[in-house]
Amino acid sequence: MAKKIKARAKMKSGLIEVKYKITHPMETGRRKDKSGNIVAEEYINHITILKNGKEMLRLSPNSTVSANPYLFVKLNGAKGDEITLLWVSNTGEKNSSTTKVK
Amino acid sequence: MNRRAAIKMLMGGAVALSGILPLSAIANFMGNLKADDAISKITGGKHTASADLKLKTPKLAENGSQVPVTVDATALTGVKSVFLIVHENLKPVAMRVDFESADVAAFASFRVKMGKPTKVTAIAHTANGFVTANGSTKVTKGGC
Repeated sequence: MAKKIKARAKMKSGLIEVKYKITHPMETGRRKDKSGNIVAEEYINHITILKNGKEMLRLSPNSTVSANPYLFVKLNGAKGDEITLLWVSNTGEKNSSTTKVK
Repeated sequence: MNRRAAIKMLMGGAVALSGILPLSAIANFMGNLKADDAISKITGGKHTASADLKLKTPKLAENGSQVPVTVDATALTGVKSVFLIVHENLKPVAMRVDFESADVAAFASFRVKMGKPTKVTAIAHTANGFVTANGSTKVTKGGC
């Protein structure tokens, strides 16, 4: 499954409101599939958010964060700033997305 | 951004991640343990309740696999990080958020899974120690 990152960064009352929706199953390692096999643990365990290449936030989600994680944070900044999100999963998979503040 | 730049960024980010975050330290309280143990591991046993730390959880969640949670520590000063603990989950520590810059509002909103009705605790690590706030959510259909 393609692991997409949907990003939205908008100025609102002086702050950048950044919203993300990451497509990811966030498997806890306890769920069973249709044939009764346990689905291996697979979840995003690091997220970094950068503004214009400078580190702003670091998040460490556990497998108890919902599937297809939704994230909402607020930053100081201005229109046109570039917000980047990087994630790494416990399996070593990575993805990133960069978006301009509107 | 073109593909080349994206790859560069990704690799740079991964290096930064592995360099700063000691994995073992996280695993310390991210695993299967009791919520109270996790809290004392994070805070070292010293924490005070404060109305300035706002934890927003629904009183009743119909779907335990998608429970929206908001931690708002903007009323506190010098917040370094916040933690969210869902007491009845097998892995109680759901999220740790580190604020790395003064440009970030001490605020985070996300969704977590909850297995059954549970107490929820937010912990904020501030310049003056650890501050907590409690809430509770009833779950009609578990999602763990």
